[in-house]
Amino acid sequence: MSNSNFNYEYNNQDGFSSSMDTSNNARKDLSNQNLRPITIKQIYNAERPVPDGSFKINGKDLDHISIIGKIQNVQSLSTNTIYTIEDGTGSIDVRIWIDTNDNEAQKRSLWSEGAYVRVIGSARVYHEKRSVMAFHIHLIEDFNEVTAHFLEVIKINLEERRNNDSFRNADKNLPSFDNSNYAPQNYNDNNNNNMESISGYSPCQQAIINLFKTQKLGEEGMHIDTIVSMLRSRFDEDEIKGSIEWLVSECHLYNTTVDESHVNIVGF
Amino acid sequence: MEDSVVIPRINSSMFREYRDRIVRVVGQVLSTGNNNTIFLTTSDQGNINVTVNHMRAPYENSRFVEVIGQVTGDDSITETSPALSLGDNFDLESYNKLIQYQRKFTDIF
Repeated sequence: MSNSNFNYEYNNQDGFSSSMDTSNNARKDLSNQNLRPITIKQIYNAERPVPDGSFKINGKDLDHISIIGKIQNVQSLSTNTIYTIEDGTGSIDVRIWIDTNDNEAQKRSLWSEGAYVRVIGSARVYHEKRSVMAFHIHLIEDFNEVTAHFLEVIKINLEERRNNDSFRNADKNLPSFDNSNYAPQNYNDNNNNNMESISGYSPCQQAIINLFKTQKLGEEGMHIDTIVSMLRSRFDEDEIKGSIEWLVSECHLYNTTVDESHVNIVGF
Repeated sequence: MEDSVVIPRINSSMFREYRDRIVRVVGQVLSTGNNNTIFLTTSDQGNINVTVNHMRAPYENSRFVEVIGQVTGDDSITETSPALSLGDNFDLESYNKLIQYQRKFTDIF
């Protein structure tokens, strides 16, 4: 029975489940739920195509979320506590129910304004305002977690946009005139807003970007020497290496996890 | 959403752009001086001075701090909240990468 309670509570977030439903449907929904690190700004920007339905980011349902921010305000009520959390992108109210048997609640009562916390919960609308219902809150002690959280948010977003892009434009991945470097305008770039300002690049920087765009690369990216050898006919080695360095410092390319000599494009 | 407070993460190179705004800056404590001014090296290796209006303890107790304050010049900031100790083990380089990346994702940050 405790298991069915669990299903009920988590499904109730959209307000549709009105009974203690333990059908396959409810179980299936639970298994689909994932924990997604996001920013507070993303909560406010999340779409809600169906009124009272679930929130969506990049077309994906928002289930459990994780945010990291600083406590700005604490409001203790008889049955719950409301923390106003600010994460550098916005602030939002986070509500957590007080369980009298819960040791955590005692620990939490010691936290005050200015402390960094991680909140696990789900996005809600309460009194026409977006807020978070927390299942769990804990204090951040290693502040590298804050950096890691936001880098993960970026990574997930990049992966999703790339996946959505390749799904929607599957046919465009086939070789065609539009896809080639010689096309007057590369139609595939409609989602690459970050790359749109391409006119500001030197021919060499431009060539490197084009090289990445035309290669199907894995996560390991490309070795710098490979890039040099592929472009040596058009640019000299120092210029190519300098351009790669510049593109890395401007976040168009990044060093992959393989080693310092492998880079990949930041893109979708 | 209207009452959502945003305190962006910036480094010293962005001070000019964020003049008069309330921001958060992470840095390594360079020297604590005698008066209420503290010198920090920020994540992009810039030097800034912080006018302290709250406790000095966070600056004295750890190598790295997060300051929330108002940008008052190209290299100066005045605290609007107490600073936070980040301890002695904080990866400033990764933090600076985050600041650079986040400018590319204005729909998220």
